[in-house]
Order: sequence, then C-alpha cells, then structure tokens
Amino acid sequence: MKRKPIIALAWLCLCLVFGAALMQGSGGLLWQMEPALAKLLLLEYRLPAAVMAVLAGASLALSGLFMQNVFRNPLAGPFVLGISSGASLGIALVVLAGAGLPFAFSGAPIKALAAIGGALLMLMLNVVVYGRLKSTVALLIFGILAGHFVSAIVESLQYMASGADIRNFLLWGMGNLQVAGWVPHFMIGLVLLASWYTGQRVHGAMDVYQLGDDYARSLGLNLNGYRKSLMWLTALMAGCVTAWCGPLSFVGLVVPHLARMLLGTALHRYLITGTALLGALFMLTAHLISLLPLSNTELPVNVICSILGAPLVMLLLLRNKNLLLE
Amino acid sequence: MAFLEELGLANTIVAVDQTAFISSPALLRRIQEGLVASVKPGASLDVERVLSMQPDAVFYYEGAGGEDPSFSLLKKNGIKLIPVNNYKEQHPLGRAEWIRFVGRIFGIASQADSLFDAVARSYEDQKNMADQQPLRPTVFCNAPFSGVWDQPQGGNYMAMLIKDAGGVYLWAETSGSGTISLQPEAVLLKAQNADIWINCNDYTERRQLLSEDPRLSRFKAFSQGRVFAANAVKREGGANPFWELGVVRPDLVLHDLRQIFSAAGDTLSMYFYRKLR
Repeated sequence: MKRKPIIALAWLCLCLVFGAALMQGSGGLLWQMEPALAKLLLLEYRLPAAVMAVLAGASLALSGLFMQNVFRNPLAGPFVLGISSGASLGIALVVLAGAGLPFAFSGAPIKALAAIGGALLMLMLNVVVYGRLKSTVALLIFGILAGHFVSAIVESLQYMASGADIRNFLLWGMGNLQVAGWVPHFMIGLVLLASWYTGQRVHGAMDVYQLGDDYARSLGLNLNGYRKSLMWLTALMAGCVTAWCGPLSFVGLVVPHLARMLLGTALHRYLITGTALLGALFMLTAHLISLLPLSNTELPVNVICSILGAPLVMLLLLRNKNLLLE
Repeated sequence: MAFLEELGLANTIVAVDQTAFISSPALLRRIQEGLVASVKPGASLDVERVLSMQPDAVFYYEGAGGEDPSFSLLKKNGIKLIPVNNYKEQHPLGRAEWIRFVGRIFGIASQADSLFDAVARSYEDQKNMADQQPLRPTVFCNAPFSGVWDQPQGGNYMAMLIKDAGGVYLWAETSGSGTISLQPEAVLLKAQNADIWINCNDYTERRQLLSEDPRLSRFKAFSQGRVFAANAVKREGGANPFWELGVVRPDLVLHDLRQIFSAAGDTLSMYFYRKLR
C-alpha cells in the first residue's frame, strides 16, 4: 500500500475519532442535550480533552521516534532517560511531601512546574553524563539506574504520606487528559511544533545517523550536538506532557514501530509526520475508549494505553523477530 | 484518640500512628512534652518501639488488607489488640456510639453512655431544627483532582449528615457507603445549579479553586459564594479536628451544616466549617 493513502486514511480516522470524542462523554450524547449546556460541555470539557489527547499522543510518539533514533534501540522510548521518573519526583514532592503546605506552594501551577523541573533535572544529568562518557549505551544504563533511584525516593515519600495524598498521587499516575484551561495545550503544542519542525529539518541526518557513528561522522554530522538537540526536545515534550497528563505509557514505544510498519519505510522524512499523526490517533482512540463505559465514571486513560499498547508490542515482536536485533 | 480525649483519658495515650496528623490540643501538649511517640511513620508499625513501650493495649482500625502481620508479635508479648471499626458505620451517630465500647474497656461505661446520650440528644435537636427549616438546598461535595471528582454514595455518613441537616444531596440515590469517582463533566451536569458546595477541604479561598480549574466558576454555588470547607481549624501538618472530634461529636458537624443550609445561618459560629473567601 502506498504512503499517501495510508496518511490520508490516518487523517480521516483522526477526524472521525476526534468528532466521536466530542460527541460522547459521561454526560451523554451531545445532540441529546439543551443547546446551552451542550455548548458549555463541548467548549470547556470535551474539546480541551480531545485536543490534549492529540497533542499528548503526537508529542510522546515523536519523542519515542527521536529516542529510538538516538539510541539506535527499537525498545527505547521517551521515558528511557528517566524523564518520567523525574516528573514523578516533582509531583511527589508537591503532593506527598508538600502536604499541609500553604496553597501557594501546592496548587496546580506549582505541580506542573515541579514536574517539568524534575524532568529537566533528569535531562541535565543525562547531558552531563553523555558529555563525560560519550556513549549512548552508558547513557541508556544511566537513565535506567537514575529512574530506579528516583523511584526509590518517590516510594519512600509514598510510604510516609497519608492515605489521601497517596490516592492523589496514584490518580496522577493513572493519566488524565481532562486538563483545564488552554495554557497547557498552548505550551505542549508549541514544544511539539518546534520538535516537528526540527525533525523535518534534520530528517536526512536522522537517516544517516542510523547507519552508524563512523558513517555519520564521515558525512559531516556533529554527533554530539545532534544527540543533545534530540534529547532536549524529547525531554521537553515528554516532560510537559507528563506534567499535565501524568506518565502516559506505551505511546512513545509502540507508535514509531506502527508508523514504520504501516508506511513501509524507515525514512524519517515520512516517519516524523506519520509518527506524530499515528500517536495522536492512538491517544485519541484510548481517550474515546475510556469514555465508552456507560456510567459516569471513566476508565483511566493510562490503563487503556497499556491495554492497547502491550499487545501491539507483543504482536510487533512476533511479526518481526529481528526487531530486537535491529 | 478522640474517644479517649472525650472520656478524659488522653493521658493514657503513649503513642499514635503519626503525631503530624493529631489536632487534639490535649494530645498536642503531651506530644510537645515528649510523652507521646509516633510508632507508624510509614505503612508499617514500628514493632520494636511499641514493644519497648510495653503498652497494655493497641487500638487499631481493621483495614481491607487484613490484620497487620506485626500484630502476632505484639500478641505474643501480652499486648492486647482492640479493633475500633467506627469508620465502617453508615450513620454519624453509629460512628460516635463506639465511645461506649471504649468506655467499657476502661471500666467507665456509665460515663461513656451519658456522653453518647448527650451527643445523640444534641444531634436529634439539631435534626429537629433542620426539619423545621423551610429551605431545602441542593448540595454536592469535594473538589476534582486529576480529572476525578469523588462524591459520597447515598449510604455514606456524609450523605446522612446532609439529609439530617436539611439539605438535598444530589447523589443520595446511589447505593453503597463509600464514594463514587466521577468525571468533572458528570458533576457539572448534575450540580451546575446546586445551591451549596461543601467539603473543599484543601482550599481556603475560591480563587485557589479557580487556579486548579477555571471551569469551576460555572457552578452556581461558586458564583454565589456558597462554597464551604471543613478546615476552619487546621494544623500546619494538615491535621484537622473534623476527622477526630467531628467523629465523636457529629452533633457539632450537623450544627455547622444546618447553619450552612439555612439562608439566615450564622456561619461565624461554626466549629469545623468555614466559607471559602
């Protein structure tokens, strides 16, 4: 199948799922409501959630593509650098350790800043480590170890926190696309646009880099700067999404593979837009499924991401036994 | 602990889970004097510390996870383990009535009975006054967090308190005694035109709620300034007498809610609640 019909089909599906996510909600179907109420729900609840699903899905998928490229590892994702753990630490410090602090130190803006700060702190550590060791394998190991270290701190905070605070922290971890206001959407959108644009500018370098350091260097690619740029963009995308939506899993890992499989190419010229598009579709579908149960409660979106994502990874591994050797 | 304090037995307490969660003035004094220790700083009991203190008995709540594995060690060392499961009671007076049980353990049954009877009478008086109020405001509870908004189910003690205080609780028809987790959209649909919003206990000002979620201004209760929190007295670490004294004295909680639900209510004389600024 050619690429253009695939891309067109993905756009069509995205539009259809987006429309369905606007129509369906815990309050019922939009056209069955009074016009004033329908307008309120549409503009202030359903539209922000659907737009956030698109932005978060596209951001995480694109950051997964970047990380798989930087590490030349098909199982790398946006959180491999410990970025998710860093954001979790920021949130845990506010929600668990900050219980009882005045509101000025524990409100939503502080939580978002703490999560972004935690993610950036982990990124800085990664940049320092990479600067000293100049090895992506060492960086990968460092990211995993740092993630465990930070998780241990978070678990200690959980151990000492009250039941209500632990519940709030767990709720954050389950993922949430119902983010109020448009400021988070604007910030995530801006970072996504900058990342997509950068990706389009360096798609050739991404292809060359895949062929090995020596080959890329012989073609004049500044490996150090190239890796740092993609790592910064990944941390910003994953950090911002995690700050507001929680640690959404599997999107960054599975969607780049789906894009390669569906588009039938490894050329980043096509993969960058295709991955972002499929990431948006994946997250929007997860959001729509989470709305479907016929009750007022909504299944956590992270649960749906895992239910959709884990079998897809297994399927990919079964279909392509060489995936781990790529 | 509130039961012991109400019975004048605060001086028998030598340890609590975490001193940070204590709001009782009598117990706080003892904590400051170093007479009360924290023995459960995390999820597990510090058994060694408890054993070294050699208490006669340990009062505890029976959680869903079953008995704490460390309890067998306490039993072997002759320490009595006494479950106080008042939180499982659905009626506020049922929760308070456990003072009789505690009183009997300390051999002061008649004192405990008379204290409970006084609370029950006071509760009934408040309820009767609420019955005579012409207004029946619609009420909803709590605040959203991370896309989830909990409301007490119809059999929850809070639903009972709202009903007895003369309010019409919007989720009264739901079955169960716990809470129901809802989407903010579902709460908006049902409570947008509700008269009163209570238990925003993490907030002291309405603008704080708005900074969390600007859409909350769409609620009539918010725009009319009828948002209340049970945090009139709150210690720095988060301890709140609503969760201690409020359990033993539901009549005082009912008094506050009756004041809130009455249009002419004097919100200045409340024990636990305050209006968000």
